[in-house]
Amino acid sequence: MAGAASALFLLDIKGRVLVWRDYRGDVSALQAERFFTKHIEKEGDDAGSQGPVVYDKGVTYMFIQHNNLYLMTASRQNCNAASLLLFLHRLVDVFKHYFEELEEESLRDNFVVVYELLDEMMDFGYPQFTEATILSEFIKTDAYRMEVSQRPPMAVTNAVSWRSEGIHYKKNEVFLDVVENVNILVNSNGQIVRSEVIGALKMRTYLSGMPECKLGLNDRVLLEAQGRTTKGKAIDLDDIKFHQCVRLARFENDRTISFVPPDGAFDLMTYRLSTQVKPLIWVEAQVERHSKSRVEIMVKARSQFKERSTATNVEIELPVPADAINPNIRTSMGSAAYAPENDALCWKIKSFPGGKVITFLPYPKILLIYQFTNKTLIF
Amino acid sequence: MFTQFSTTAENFSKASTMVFRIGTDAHLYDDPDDVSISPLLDSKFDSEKCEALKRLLALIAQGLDVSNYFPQVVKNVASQSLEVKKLVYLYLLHYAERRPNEALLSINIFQRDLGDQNPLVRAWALRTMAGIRLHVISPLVLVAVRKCARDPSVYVRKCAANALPKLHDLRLEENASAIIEIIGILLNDNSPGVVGAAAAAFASICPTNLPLIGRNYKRLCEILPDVEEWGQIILIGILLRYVSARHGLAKESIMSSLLPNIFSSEKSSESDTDYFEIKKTYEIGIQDPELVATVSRSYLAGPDKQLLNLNDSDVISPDYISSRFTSSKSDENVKLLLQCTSPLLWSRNSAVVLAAAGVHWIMAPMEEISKIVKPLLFLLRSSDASKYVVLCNIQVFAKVMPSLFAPNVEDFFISSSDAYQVKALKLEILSSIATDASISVIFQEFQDYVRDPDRRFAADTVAAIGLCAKKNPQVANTCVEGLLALTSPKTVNSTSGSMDDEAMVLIQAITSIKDIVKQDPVSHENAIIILIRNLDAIKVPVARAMIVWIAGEYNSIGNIIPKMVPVILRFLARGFPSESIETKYQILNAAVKVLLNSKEEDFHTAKSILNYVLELAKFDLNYDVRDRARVLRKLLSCYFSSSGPAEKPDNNEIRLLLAEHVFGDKTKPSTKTVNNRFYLPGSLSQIVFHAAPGYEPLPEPCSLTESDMVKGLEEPAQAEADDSDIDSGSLNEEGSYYSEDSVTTSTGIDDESAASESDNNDNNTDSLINFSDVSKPQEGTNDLSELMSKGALESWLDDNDNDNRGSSQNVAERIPSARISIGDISTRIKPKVYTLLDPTYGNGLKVMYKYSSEASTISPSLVSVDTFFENCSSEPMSKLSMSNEDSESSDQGRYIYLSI
Repeated sequence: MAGAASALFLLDIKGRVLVWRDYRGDVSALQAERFFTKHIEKEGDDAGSQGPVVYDKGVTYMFIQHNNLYLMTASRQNCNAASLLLFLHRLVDVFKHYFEELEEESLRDNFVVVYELLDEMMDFGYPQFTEATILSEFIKTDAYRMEVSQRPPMAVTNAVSWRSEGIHYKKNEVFLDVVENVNILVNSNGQIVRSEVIGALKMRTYLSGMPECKLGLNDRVLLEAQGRTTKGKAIDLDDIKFHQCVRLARFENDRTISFVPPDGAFDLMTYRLSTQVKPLIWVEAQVERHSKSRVEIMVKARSQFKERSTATNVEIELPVPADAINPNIRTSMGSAAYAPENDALCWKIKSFPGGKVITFLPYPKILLIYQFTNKTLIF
Repeated sequence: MFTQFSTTAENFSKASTMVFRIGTDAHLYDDPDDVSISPLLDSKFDSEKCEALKRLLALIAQGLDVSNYFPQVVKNVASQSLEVKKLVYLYLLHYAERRPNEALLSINIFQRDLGDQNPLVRAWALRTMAGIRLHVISPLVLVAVRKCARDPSVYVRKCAANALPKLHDLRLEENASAIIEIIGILLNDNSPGVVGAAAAAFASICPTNLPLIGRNYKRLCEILPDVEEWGQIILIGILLRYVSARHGLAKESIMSSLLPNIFSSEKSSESDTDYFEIKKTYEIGIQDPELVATVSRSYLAGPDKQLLNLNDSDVISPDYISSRFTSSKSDENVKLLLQCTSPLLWSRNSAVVLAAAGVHWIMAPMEEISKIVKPLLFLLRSSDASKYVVLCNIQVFAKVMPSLFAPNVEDFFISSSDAYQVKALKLEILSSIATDASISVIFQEFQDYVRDPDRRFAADTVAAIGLCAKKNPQVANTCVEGLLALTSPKTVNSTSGSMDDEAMVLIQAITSIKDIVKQDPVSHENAIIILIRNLDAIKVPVARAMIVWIAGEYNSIGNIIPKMVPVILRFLARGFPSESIETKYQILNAAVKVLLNSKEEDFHTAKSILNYVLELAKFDLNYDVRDRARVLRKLLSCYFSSSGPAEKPDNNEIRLLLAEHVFGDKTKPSTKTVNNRFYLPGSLSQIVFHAAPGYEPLPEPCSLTESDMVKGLEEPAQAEADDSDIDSGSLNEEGSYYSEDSVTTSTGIDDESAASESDNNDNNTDSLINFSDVSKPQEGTNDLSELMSKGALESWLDDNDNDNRGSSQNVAERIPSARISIGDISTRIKPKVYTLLDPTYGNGLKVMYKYSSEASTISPSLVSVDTFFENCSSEPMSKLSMSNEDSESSDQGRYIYLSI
């Protein structure tokens, strides 16, 4: 039932194998490379014709793209697609932790470490340790290696796989950040169809020993269970994800978030709230067609937050047809550029004060005669 | 140790310390062979060896064959430096298979490393050793694994668990029982990390040996939240299998659709209220009971069995099926499973969430399934790739139980950044969860999607509109109006850009209209009229053909259409030669249909049109069109006979009846193929829509009985024996043994001298019987009758083996006995037929035999053999006698005489 990956490949943008690790010996690099180059060609003709999971001649390939790299697993068995794809993402995270930026160049620079990591992170096609902090305790980059003698991996021998024993700090500190992202979906009439907040509790711990931490939230369920009044300040905690270190069973029982934190930075929990959020910046676009090959777009961005605060590094992306060329852009603030690789015009505003309206007027010429389809459905 | 650096390496290492965290191996990767590697490998400095090995690795990565360095590299395995060791290991793993003899040289070093103080060294040695895919060393690896399974270090034990699948992969049947035994030990481990790895080993080696799980079920459930995430995924799957095999499916869950009583009005008397309750919950959110049943059935049966089961399910008595169900509310074990998986819905690992959701989907009471909705939707916020996987699974959930996701319509609205596949999946989900309340919002979204620059997606949207309209007939009218707007000549003509894409949308729009109209043609008369009016402007052949079909099919509906159609047909007939082939077919068909439906006054017109069209078709360039014309003419010859009946002929003529049957029928192949294949949630097969190799449906509910549990504990080799092929079995002197070439021996519970035992085990390799100790004979006798009744082939004999000392510590007074068993193998394989007598030796008599799967009715200790006689010669035979005598066998001698 539970199949495993047969091999793992790191390919460059053209589908050439850079580094590969064979786990089961039933898929060869040549086979994979041949498949993938073919796949990329096909992709070129018919963009995104296939999903991230492709079946070809008895082998199932799963891949993700990161910068100018493809990470791909191949398997001949019925494996858990979700877990392997997630594993690839974890792989990216670990590589990033090691090399700061994961791209073809950094892979070449560190291919030996990559091999060692691949060896440690997956055994016979089964994912193993995927925590970068743990891995870096016993797989060192060259710079470290010369100085520190190899120690047995403390963390991996613990019952708590994410924290090593014997950590000591003179000053014990914990930092907690809350980072929230707002997702808003607006339909063409300008109505907000859906808005939600996705937040993360980011923690940074510098604690000695094996500390047991507890986090209290104004969780409505908990407060009501304790018989306290909820004066509108309580929140509904139901859509949440916890870091591995949180004792989930305990949370299930009495809604306390208790955990032995890993050392350093990690995301303690992420949550989702589906509440009505007023968009901070409201963007409106008017499209006017002058001739068959000329379109005028007028974009207005209005900041809806308080005047004394400013938004920094605002980016507004404006999708344009794939065959657009030569946009002629005027902006009242910030700078805009055409990014043909994304088929979009990118408008960047360094700082955007509250309560203001700014405009953006690009006139992209369209090379082929393109239709901004004027068909409408009337229901 | 003296100085570590040679002169060359010194500069290099200094340079590398300067660049913090960023490696400097690039020059090694880019031109790995700019210096000669051999001398470096032989260097006495570790750093130079390292460099050489790195160069070799780079060459491997670039796809070059550097196996000729093998002897030199293997030598370095003995190095004290961990770094060199590690690099050598990597090299070794890559080439060991190709250079088996040299690889053996390294084994001694591995064995020495296994005794190293550093757990890291022990673990790496074990991992590499197991990774060398050589049959020769597998006994050594097994010994090593056995030893490491008791290592004080968790890391080493984990590596031992990971080594097991590697050993198993070599397909050494004589080791199977030992491997399974070690899995049992490791599943019992205190450390969750080890249990996770052991679960992976279990799943890949002996997923059917569920008794092994049964022993630890409670503990495994409790430890589940602490197991590392990747192990959790596998363990969840195993636990689900176990519960379903041991305790059956939950009757409150969706799987209850298999209960026949739900659909039939009659209820079994004693559980009246029970069923009523189920029925009530059942109606909560399921629209299509057939689909649910199909899904549940396919969870249980593999794709090959599925077709059989479709018919079988009617035959199986309801009692039989009901007995397979348990209650998820009252059954402790099911409850425990649900309880321990529900916190995992909050895991940050999306695969864990999906696996936990799968358990709830199959096992949880229907009213509690909603628990999985929000966690699943949260997963949609992750990366594109996992979004796709999650949507694939949600799609099935949503189809089966639309009410589950109905309140969350907004989550499936498409954003422009979604990949095409994600968009398509979301559309499909949207169209299946649309309800009366949400349909207007969904349609509003659809309006935007239709304007999407990606016309393929727009076409999909149009198809989805059609689906929605079919499901909710009350919105059909608005849908048709909207779709008609898409086909109107104004918009079609303005299309000057990408023709193909627009055509796609147009075709899809007309297909959707056709599907909607088909449901209730009378009320959509207006739509048909508009379509026919637009015919002139629509140039896309497929679309034209479809409109002509609609015109022909509904030519007698209402008042206006019957008047319009002949006119249109006349017009089409005039342009017949310039039409495309598919349109020509439809014009021919439409002309026939009009003729068949025509009333007295139109009859002549219709006839002349058809005649004209047929004449034209007779000289068409395309042979198929010509053939069709010929067939039609013959079929309708009564209309075109030389005299030519002036009147409409009688309907009695057989050919006319045939024609009416062919054309009057509403059969039109639907363009949509319904995908009826469903696989377990979370599996790869569900995403690629075919059973990937190794896909296993849920085990038969309640197939694991109490006696199996006992048996399974004692016979870890059992499951293995089932899988191994048994084609070379030979009849031994007694004829009552089922023999296998693969012999699995089990030494019961392992003792401390396990390592030295492997030689001992080998003594048995040439015996042809599957031995296993029965350490609890008192229970064994109980289950005997049960096993017999199930038709398993069983026989007992006295144990004269010295092999039972392993388990002797258990019960002092136990009766030593062994069991030979092939379990329920008969259900899995076709019995092989063996030749007893070849016609060339037997004067033309051919005798074949096979083992029957039925137990003998005379005595359980007898074995039935089916014998087939065939006379291959031309002469009749007489006085045939068959005897089977045995002398050596000690306990039961049986004689079969047969005379003819």
